[in-house]
Amino acid sequence: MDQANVSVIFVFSIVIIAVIVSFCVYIRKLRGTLKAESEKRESENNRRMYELSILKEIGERAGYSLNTQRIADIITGSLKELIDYSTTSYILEDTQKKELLFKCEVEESVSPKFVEDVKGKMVAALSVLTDQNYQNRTIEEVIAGTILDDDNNEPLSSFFNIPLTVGNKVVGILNVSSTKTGLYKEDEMTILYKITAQASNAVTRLQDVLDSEQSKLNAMVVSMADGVLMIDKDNRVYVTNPKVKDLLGIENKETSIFDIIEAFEGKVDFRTKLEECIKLNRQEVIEETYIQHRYIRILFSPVKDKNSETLGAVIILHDITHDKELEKVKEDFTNMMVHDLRSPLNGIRLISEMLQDKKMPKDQFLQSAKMIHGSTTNILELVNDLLDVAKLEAGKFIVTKSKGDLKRVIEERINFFQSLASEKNIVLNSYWGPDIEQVPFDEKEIIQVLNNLLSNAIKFTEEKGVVKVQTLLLKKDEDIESKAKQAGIKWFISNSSEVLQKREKDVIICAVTDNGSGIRKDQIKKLFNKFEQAEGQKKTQAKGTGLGLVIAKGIIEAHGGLVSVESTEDKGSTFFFILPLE
Amino acid sequence: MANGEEYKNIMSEMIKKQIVILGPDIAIMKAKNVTELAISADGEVTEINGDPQVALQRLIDEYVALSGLIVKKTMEPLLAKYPSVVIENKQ
Repeated sequence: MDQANVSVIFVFSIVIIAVIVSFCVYIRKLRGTLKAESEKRESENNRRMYELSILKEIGERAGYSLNTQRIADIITGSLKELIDYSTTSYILEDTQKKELLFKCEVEESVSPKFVEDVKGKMVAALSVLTDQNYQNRTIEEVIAGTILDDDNNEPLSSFFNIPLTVGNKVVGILNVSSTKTGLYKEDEMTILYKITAQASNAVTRLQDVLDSEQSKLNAMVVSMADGVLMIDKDNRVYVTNPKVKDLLGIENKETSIFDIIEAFEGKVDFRTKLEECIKLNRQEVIEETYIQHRYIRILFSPVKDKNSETLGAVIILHDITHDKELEKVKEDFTNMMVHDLRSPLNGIRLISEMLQDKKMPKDQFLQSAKMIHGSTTNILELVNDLLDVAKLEAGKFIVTKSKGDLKRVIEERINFFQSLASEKNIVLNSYWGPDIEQVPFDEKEIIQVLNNLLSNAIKFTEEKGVVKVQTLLLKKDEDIESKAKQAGIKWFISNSSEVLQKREKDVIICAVTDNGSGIRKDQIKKLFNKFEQAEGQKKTQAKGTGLGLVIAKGIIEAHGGLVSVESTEDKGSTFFFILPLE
Repeated sequence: MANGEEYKNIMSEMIKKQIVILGPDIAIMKAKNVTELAISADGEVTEINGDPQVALQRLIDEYVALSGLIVKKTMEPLLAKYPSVVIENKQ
C-alpha cells in the first residue's frame, strides 16, 4: 500500500468518525430537545390537570354556592401542588357587617410581622381596587397552620395578589407570599390568576341566574305596600324593599342590619326580637311603635327551608298611621254623638224636674214645654240622621222618583229659608237657566238635600252676605262655563270639575253658592266623610253631626246623580248636585 | 395629542398602581412583556421604543388579560388625568 492510499484511507476514516460523532451529537441533542419538550409538555399537562382538578374541586365542594370564602379556601388550600410559599392568605369584604375577614394559612414558620406585612399589602391592594379607605375598618383575623416564630427575622420578599371578583364587584384579594426573593415565575403566577378568574366566572354565572330569579321575587316585594325585610341567620339583610327605607328614614343605598338597628334605636330592641324569633322559632309582634312621625306595627316571622332548617326571619313593617287616625276620628265622632244626645237629654231632665213644681206660673210652664219640644226635636233629627246614614251604608236607602217640577221645589225652599237669611241680613236669591226641564226625583228626599245645603250656606255666610241658588240644564256635550255665562250665572264651578267630567247624560245642575270664607282644598274631601268635618265647621257649627252632607250625597247618588263642592278661600263656596234628566 | 413624556408618566403611574394591587413581581413582569417599553426595577418607564399609544394599549391589555376588566377600572382615574392620552375604548 502506497503512501497516497494510506492517506486516503486515513482521511476517509476521519470523515467517517466525524460523521458518526456528529450523528451521535445530533442524536443526543435531539434527545435533549425532545426530553425538554416532553418535560415542558408534562409540566404543561400537570398544570392543566391541576387547573381542571381545582375547578372540579371548586365545583364539588363549593357546589352551587355563592360562598366566596369557601372558594378562596379551596384555591389557597390547594396551591402546595403548584408552587412554594410561606403563607397563602385571603381578605374578604363583608358589606353587610362592614368589616373585613383576613385568613392566613402559614406553611413555613414566619414572624408575626411577616403576616402583618402581608395583611397590610392586601388591605392596600383592596383599597386601590375598590377606591375605599379600609384603615378604620374592623378586620377579623384567622391565622392557621404552622406556629408563628417571633425570632424569625426573614422579611416578606416575594408576593403576589389576585383580585377576587363576582360580576363587576371586587369581593376580596388572594395572596401568596414567601420569604425567598424572586421565587415566582410569570407562568406560575399567571396560571393562578387564570384559575381564580375561572372560579369567579363560575360564581358570576351562578349569581346571574340567582339574580334573575331574585329579580322576580324582588319585583313582587318592591311593589308591596308594607316594608319587607328578610334577614339571614348571620344577620345579613337578604331581601329588602324601598318601603323599608321610606318607613325607617334610611338613606344609604344598600340597607344593612346596622341601619335597621340604628333606625329602631331607643324604640324597639330589634336585635333581641330578631334573635328570639330565629332561636325560639316563633312569631314576634310589636303592636305599635312611633318612628319617623309614623306608627308602625312590626311582625317578625321565622323562615325555614324544606328541611325545616331555619334560614332567618322575615320582618313586615306595616304602617298603621292611617288606622290610628281613623280610630281617633271614630272616637271623636262617638264622643260628639254622645255629647249631642246627652246635652238635650240633660236639658229635658232638668226641665222635667222643674215641671214637678206645681206652683210654676203658666207662662214659664209653656216656655219649659217649648224647650222640651226643641230638645226632643234635636234628638229626633240626630237619630233620624244616624238612621239615614245606616240605611245608606247598608244599601237600603230607597228613593221613589217621579218626574216633577224641581224649580217649584227649589223656589219653595228658598221662600222657607228667607226668614232665616233675613235674621243675618243675608240676601238669598235664585237664578235659572233658560231651558229647565222636568226631572225625575224624590221630592221628599231632595227637599232634605236642599234644606241641608241652604241651612249650611246661611250658617257659614257672614252677616250681609249673599247666598244664591242657581239651576241650569247642561247637555252632555255642553261647556258649563259658557252656558253659565250666557245665563248670567256666577259660581265657582268650572269645566275642570271632576263631577261634571264624569257625567254621561244630560243633567240638571242645582248649586248653592255663598260668599263666605271658603274651604281649604285639604278640607273639602273631609266634608262628605261620616267621621270628619271641615275645620271651619267644627269651630262654628253650634249644632250638628256633620252627617247632613253625608246624607245629601247618599240621596243624590241614589238618584243616579253626583254631589260636589268647588271653593275659593276668602271668596266663597259652591255646593252643587247634578241629577240626570232621564 | 400627548407627547412621549406624558405617555411615560401615565404608564409609570399605571405600573406603580398595579404594583400595589398585584404585587411588584407580577406587575413588573407583565409590563416587561410590552416590548416597546424599557422599565426600571421599581416599575418606572424609562424609554418607549415605538408608538407610545400602541405601547400603552399593550400594557393595559397585559393587565386586563391577567386580572380582568376590574383592573381597567382602576386605570380610569389615571386616564382622566391625561385627557390628551388616547386609548381604545377609553370611555
